[in-house]
Amino acid sequence: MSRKITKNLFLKLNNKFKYKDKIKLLILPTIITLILINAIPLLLLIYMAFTNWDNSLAFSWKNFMGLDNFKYILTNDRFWQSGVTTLIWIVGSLALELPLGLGIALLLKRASKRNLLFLSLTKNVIVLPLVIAPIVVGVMWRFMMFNANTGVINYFFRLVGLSPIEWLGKEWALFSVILTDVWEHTPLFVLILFAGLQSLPDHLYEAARVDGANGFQLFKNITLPLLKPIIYVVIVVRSIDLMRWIVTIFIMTGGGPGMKTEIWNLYLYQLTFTRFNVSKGSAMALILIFASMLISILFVKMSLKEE
Amino acid sequence: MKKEKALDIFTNILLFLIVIIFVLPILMMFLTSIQDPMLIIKDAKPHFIFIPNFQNYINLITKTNFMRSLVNSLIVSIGHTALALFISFPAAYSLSRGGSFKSKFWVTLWIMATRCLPPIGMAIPFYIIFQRLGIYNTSFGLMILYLTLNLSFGVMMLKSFLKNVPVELEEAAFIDGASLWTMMTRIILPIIRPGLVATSIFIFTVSWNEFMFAFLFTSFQNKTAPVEISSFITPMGIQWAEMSAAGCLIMSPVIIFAIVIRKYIVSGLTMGAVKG
Repeated sequence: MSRKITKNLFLKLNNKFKYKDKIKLLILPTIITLILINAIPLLLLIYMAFTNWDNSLAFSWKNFMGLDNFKYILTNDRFWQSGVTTLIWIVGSLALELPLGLGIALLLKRASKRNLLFLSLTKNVIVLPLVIAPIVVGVMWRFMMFNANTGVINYFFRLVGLSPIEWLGKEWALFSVILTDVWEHTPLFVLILFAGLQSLPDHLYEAARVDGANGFQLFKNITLPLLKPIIYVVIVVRSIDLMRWIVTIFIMTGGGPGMKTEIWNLYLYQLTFTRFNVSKGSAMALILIFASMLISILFVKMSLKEE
Repeated sequence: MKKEKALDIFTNILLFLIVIIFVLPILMMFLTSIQDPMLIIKDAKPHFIFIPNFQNYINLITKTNFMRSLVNSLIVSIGHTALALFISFPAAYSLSRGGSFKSKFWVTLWIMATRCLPPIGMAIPFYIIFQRLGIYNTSFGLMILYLTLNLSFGVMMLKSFLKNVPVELEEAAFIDGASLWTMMTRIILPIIRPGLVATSIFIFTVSWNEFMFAFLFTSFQNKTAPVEISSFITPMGIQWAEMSAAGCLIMSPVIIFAIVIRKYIVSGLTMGAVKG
């Protein structure tokens, strides 16, 4: 009897083991997909960066070029100039979005604690910029907001007696595209930081308040330190995305006027798809991939050090 | 208490201003789409009060290729969403239930890393591969391409939903002799249906909105709606009326979706790193 039970149990365990294995195998379709859509294109990209593909987008075995393509990119003034623009674009956007997002999140927190009138309206409206197609965002900011004559911003400027500004002209273009991004992506900061604020324990605040701490002290000594991990997450997610971004700038200025708003991705687009310097573009793409990896590792390291 | 009341009013006013700022561009686009285009060109200033007419929409539908591009967008987005779910659901299940296998960390990292690559950079090798395979300028090609954007979303979002389903349920089914297939289709799928809906809406939205890949990989009759809207900006001038109406048509389904799945947007956008 007991032998039978043992045998049964053994069979079941054996079965269970296979079962777990089966579950593990379910990852296979994804691995195959990743090989097809990620590994193979990346390998081809690396091959292209080291060979001569310029002026051709058809496949054949090409001449090996060594590091010439990389040399061309790294000694190119335009690469460094657009690098500076990219840096301003990333840092400028983050510097505006983080404090604004934190501010709005704090407002929402207060509103949800006091159950205020505009709470749910604000929460619903604030997700809209995130889900509207970036191309439509670009179109509406270029034509409905920033247009020098018919744009709303200049209309309000004239109403209050300020002189209208050429928003997408030489001086203001970079600021304008950053402003568009602030409108589009501050909501991400708001949503994430608000979720973070909601998860902070109330009793800490009550204890601090009993000890006589004022609002600013509460914020500086409780909210900010507890929110830090989440702030790091948003900054990492956003920097990676800002590094990959192109659509709104593409449609609003196309990198112009001159090269005032040309970020790396736009230069890469120019290089590869309008001038057909394909292998130089590939080399640049690899450099960009490397740079964005570096940024993410840097931030992860920084946030680990903090903890 | 009086101070609290005053602060409440102040907060309400600020929130109202924030709402206005975030709605204004969307509102302006809508207003432009329902006014006579001559009005904009003639006065060179925005109008807030006018007699609305829907002639722009009628022109857009009857006189341009926009409807065809909208249908293309729909085909690509639905096809891609089905494909992405089909691939990412087993993976999410495997990652959340398969115990801790050695390669798990690396697979997860690989899935996440696909999301960090610059799309223009990846477009270069894809351009050559797709032309070689003969799927350049097809809806099917776009469905495949969008996997590079959405596979990570799908796996990570579904994984975070699966985490909330108690394992005991599956163990009970297993002891009753259910096969893996029955368990997935009869037990897991019905339970995480809300998560599945949220994930598919999310994936649908991303592919519906995508511009750059579609711009590079489709032309003529295969253009998607976001590509078609950029064709209203011509060297000869800007077709204000059609452009704004097209913009409104592209964003309206997504706006409805967004309000439905608002709860899940945060965890989706951060790939499960933050709970919404």
